[in-house]
Amino acid sequence: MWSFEYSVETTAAPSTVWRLYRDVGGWPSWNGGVERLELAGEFEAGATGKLTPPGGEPMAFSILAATENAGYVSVTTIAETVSLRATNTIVRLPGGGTRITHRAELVGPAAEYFGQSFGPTLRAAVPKGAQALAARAAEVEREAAS
Amino acid sequence: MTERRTLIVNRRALIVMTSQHTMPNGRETGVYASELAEAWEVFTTAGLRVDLVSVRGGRPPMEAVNPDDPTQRAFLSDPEMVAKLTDTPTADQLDPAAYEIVFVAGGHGAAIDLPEDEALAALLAGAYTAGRVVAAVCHGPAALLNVVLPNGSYLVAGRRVAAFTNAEERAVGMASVVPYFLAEELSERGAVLNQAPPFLPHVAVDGRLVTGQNPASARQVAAAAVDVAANTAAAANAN
Repeated sequence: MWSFEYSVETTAAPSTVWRLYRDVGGWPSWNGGVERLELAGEFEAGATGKLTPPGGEPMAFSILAATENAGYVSVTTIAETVSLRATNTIVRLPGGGTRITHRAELVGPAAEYFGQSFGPTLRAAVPKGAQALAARAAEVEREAAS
Repeated sequence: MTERRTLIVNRRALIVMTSQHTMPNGRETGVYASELAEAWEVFTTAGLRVDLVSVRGGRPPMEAVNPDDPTQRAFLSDPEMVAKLTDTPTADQLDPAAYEIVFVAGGHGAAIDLPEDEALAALLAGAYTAGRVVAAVCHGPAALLNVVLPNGSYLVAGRRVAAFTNAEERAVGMASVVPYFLAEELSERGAVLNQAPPFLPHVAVDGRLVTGQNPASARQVAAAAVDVAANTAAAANAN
């Protein structure tokens, strides 16, 4: 199974990161792989919607699990033979701030093949998204404080 | 299980590459590195010498290079390939009958410049007419779009052909970027599309025309081309 995991720390609190996750309309501000995300209902387990990548067509998106201030698991259907499962977790650091961990896994009968061919592109996107999220969370708290 | 390995010694295979650097949206492209490297590995393992050719000659651009992949590392560090990649010839400089196999690698850029290369179309028609194997994978079959045989028919007409599918194009977010859907253009020229579910390896063999659907199919396309070439040579020797 193809998978890739990346962690980054931010000075922001877990609740701030969680709010950015819940604000699906704002995902394009930190996730370069998303042009638009529409969710029917709340950001919670069982929710379904459509994720549109930049220049691409909408793909089925669903949330498998979601725990406030802790993280979520989602699945995006790339094709009938391969899906992207994201396990994104947030943990409060002892000295303040948050560790953000984004894990991407390809699942389905073509996962291994898709990973060999297109994995390097995904692998490059995961750190960018986590870093941008960490920076955005810190920025949100600075704006709130000023 | 014992791996079956066909050997064709002292003969040559030619790998065709796009020279296209960017797509219309500015996205970088080039020959798909895994398809190039895997074909090279299969051909050299079979005993074939490998030559390279590109649309504009010189050093062609590469797409999706993965330095962690051992086959790509081996290809990119092979002294002969390093030298040949630095200064590739163009199709008009080559004799199509000099190659047992002409293999066209993909990469999205292939969809743009390969069909426009008249010398390449002539080389592919010449190779096929001379009894050689023509193979292509992923977007490589774009090179077949304008290949016309001496009888006036398209090479792909009435033949089973695999190529990057519309579903795969959509899945990788390129449906609005590519100038056309390759599968549809092949179909318009009479190809009988032979498609598998997205991103699974899939090869179509129709006589001496061997095609594959996506990057995951490259190794199998090259191996099937070697088998067809060996069988063709054996049949010729028997006559």
